[in-house]
Amino acid sequence: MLARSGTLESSMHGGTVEDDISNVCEPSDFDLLKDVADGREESFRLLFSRWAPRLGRFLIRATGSPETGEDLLQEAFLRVLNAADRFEKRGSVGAWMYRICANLVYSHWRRERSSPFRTPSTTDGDGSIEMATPVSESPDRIRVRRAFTDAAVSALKRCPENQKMVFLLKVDSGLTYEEIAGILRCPVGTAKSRFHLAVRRLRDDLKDWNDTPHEGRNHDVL
Amino acid sequence: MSCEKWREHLIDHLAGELGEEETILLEQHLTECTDCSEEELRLRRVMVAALPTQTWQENKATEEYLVNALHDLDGDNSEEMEFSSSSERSGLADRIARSLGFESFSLGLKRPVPSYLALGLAIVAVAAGFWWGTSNRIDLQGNRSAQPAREIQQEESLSNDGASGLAERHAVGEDSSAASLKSWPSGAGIRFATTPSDAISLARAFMSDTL
Repeated sequence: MLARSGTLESSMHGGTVEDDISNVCEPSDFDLLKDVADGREESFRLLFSRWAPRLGRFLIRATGSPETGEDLLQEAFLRVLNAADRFEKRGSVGAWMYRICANLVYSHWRRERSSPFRTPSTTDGDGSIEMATPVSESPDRIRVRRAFTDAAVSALKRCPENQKMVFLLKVDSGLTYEEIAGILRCPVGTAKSRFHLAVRRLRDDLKDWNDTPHEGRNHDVL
Repeated sequence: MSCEKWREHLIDHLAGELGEEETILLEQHLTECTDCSEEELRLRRVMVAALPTQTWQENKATEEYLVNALHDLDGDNSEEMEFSSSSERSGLADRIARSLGFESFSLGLKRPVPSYLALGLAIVAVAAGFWWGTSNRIDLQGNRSAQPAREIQQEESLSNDGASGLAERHAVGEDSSAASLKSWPSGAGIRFATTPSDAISLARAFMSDTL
């Protein structure tokens, strides 16, 4: 099972349940947002420290570029600042921020469509994309894995945007189908089917990689 | 359950969406079926490879920039806030308010009044001024007509000839003021001047009475 980095589940409904925090003594995301609307710097810094790593990683993975991801993260939080006083307690703050990020990513993808196609590659000189590689792998094995990763990333880029978005929210952020449906404002069944379609599409696009050495089920690349 | 059915559950299993009981049964099946085990591994590998490991590096510059933006926003210095998509930030009310030359105004409250409230008050003020102006219309002779605004507007729309139209309004205005004088109760002992000439005649009458 893929590792889940954290869920919004506890806070998806009305914000009356404590948001995703580890310490019950800490303020909830909704309380922090109210303070941010009043201009309290400490509350904003706490909110930022809670959500920036998660949202930043999502944006970097969605755009394939740390620089672009950082720019979009800044834009996302600017929108949070501007709309903090208008946030209504009908949903969770986390879902709302993810929705802002998703919209920014969609806009970015639209702009990219009009730009020359560029596949983020592990062979980029800046080494911006890490690969989880076991310590004991041979150079040949590493080379094959890199090529497979490049092919997988390219295959994901070719997926329809709605499938790609659901895949990102699921695999990167570990959100449930219900949470994703809340963020994207679609039925739960739609979120589930889009994820299935994305995975099957990736699998079909990469079926020629069946000659990759079998690693065994105990080998966890996560 | 057949392998085909189990494979339908593999994606949900990898996504962590399979129920506890089904997970146990599936795990058991995967230990017994090589084909399904290989399919599960293939799917897992694809899902992981499509999103290589990535971490967000803490960036203090971003945080400080946003903190400054927070203070700017709190000080209502909203011109400094640059947004890549201004349409996302402002709705129709904000855009109209800005076209009128103001973002918001303060009523001495802790936070400025939002633009849409200012816009609403401006619209009410304009409407009230329009209503007052048309219900207290001043004709070219400087006479305040007692005609309701609607009747005046109807006159204007009916008259296409500017000169004759003006003459008509003048005549009507005089008749109306004369009629208004006559309509006051004769025994009231109170007279009001509705035209400058009335005011002069009333003043003369007052002077002659008192003297």
